[in-house]
Amino acid sequence: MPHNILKPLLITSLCGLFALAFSGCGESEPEYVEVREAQPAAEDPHAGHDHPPGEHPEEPEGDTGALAFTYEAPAGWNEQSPSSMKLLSLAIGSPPELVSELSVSAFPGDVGGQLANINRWRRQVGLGPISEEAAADFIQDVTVSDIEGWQVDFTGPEGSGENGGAARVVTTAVFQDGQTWFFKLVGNDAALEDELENYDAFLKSVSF
Amino acid sequence: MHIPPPLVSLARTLGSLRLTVYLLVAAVFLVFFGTLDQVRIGIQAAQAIYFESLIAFWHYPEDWPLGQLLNWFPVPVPGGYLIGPLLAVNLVLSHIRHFKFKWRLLGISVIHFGVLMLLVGQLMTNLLQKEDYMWLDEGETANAVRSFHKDEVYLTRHADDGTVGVYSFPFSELEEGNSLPKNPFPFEVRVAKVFGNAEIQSLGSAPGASRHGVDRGIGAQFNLGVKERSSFRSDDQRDVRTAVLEISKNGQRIGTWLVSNVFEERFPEQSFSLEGRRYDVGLRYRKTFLPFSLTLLEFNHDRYPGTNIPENFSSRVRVEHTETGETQEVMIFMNNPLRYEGFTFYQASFAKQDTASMFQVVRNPGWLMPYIACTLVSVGLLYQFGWIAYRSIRRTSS
Repeated sequence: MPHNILKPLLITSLCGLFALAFSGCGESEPEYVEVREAQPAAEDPHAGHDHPPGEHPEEPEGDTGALAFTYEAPAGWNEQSPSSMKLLSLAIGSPPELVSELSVSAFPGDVGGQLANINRWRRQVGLGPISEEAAADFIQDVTVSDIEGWQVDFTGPEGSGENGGAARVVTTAVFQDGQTWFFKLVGNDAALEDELENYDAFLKSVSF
Repeated sequence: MHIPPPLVSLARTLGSLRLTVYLLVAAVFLVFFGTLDQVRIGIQAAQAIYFESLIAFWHYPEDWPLGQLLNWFPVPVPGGYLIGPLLAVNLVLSHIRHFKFKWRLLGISVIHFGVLMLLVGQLMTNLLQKEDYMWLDEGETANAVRSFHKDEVYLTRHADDGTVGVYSFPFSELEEGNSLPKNPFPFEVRVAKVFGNAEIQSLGSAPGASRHGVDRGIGAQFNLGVKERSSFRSDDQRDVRTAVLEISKNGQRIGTWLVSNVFEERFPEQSFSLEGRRYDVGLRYRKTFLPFSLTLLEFNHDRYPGTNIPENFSSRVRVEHTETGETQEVMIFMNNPLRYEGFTFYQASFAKQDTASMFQVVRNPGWLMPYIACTLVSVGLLYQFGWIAYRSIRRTSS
């Protein structure tokens, strides 16, 4: 065999050997272990949220981080234990009256895009999805802590909320430090209507 | 010993300085194109396509000037698994060819050995390292870690004594039409459908989605439809990995289940009974059980006084070995991980207003190699420069 053909042939074989060697390094084997009954803490603290199926990525789990802003809670808004997804949770009103909630969460990036989030909030109040053009009519520009953001306000049909009322969601989103921050006010339409001024005041008090 | 001339010639080529230069230039191109594409496809995909392959093809982005014109042309880029091993071979062969023991050159040999070790260590890390995470609330205990990127199909059997038999199989290895291999339970699981990334919605509101024969569990209960969607290829969004599993015993179909990694955090386990035993079936972020448990006693988030700027994050944990019963309290904080039983726990994140802590859990059998390699290179450099300085001083004084 001519010398000048053999050399590239050997080099190719060598490369092939590398490929073979590394292709065998996968994790293709099934495993079987016996353990004690799983303890709850072994699960994610993100477990147990009752999001509707199908739209997982809109609020991906992520480093929710510390509360990187200061705020003033309006009178009657009481801080409650946050969940893993909520950096801050304020209860508005007290039982047996209906309780509304303001929650703040932050997630890296644009969390699936504006339209996906808008449609998710619409679904939460019993409304159908809308197109990007239609969504533009609902988006208002707002400023939080001198950062430009956007706000939407959706009210569902009668019966979509508690006690047969209409559910309503008002959400303001701003992008800060590589994260999208959501300030979400949720409750029955009748109760929220009276809290909109407080909501605006709360947003004005937020300072990153 | 007679070595055939082609082999000698090959060894010379592979051990030549010219090849070293070519490979280093190729490495520059690899890093350049890999980084360019990382912006578009995310770290995971970029790493797999560029750095964990023999060859990759870069396409000029369509949204750049003249993108429509240039996008079709694939630019071949040598991959990390080609450059790295060739560099190692190059180093070894050039050493074999040129090595002559001399005290004045000993430092160079040590440096080269250190560099070789660094290359081998990197390859080992790449092939063997596993990265997982563990979330803990204050006061809670966990004995398992979860994968950042990998998913698995699992089957569990609950015994009366509180033990659970857990069978798992990597999602990436699922093949439609095949049965789960080495399944220890008395039934067969056939993979009817696999979705790398799926859209799961109520059948009525999801055009194009199909039920895929699911008649048991969450899929049937909520009348869910599934359709394939392209991968998010994002570092922030995890693909909704989904499968349809058909379970049967002795040819008799028991039922068909829809399993997905988005179910676990939203729904209870999907279970069924067979011969008086309860079994669960599902798909989840890969879960690795540990031979010990970790309890988060306290998480601290210190800030500089008067500001929100973090000064330190620390977690006080109790480690308890399952078999030996050995218990110890450890403080994990930035740059001070816990190393235990081959696992390294790094303080990675926190949540729930500083009451939950997340650890990045790394297993890397080759973790010591870079330290040894860097020490060798340092010693080699010190020796070599020391030798030159010694000779120079001697020459001057004489």
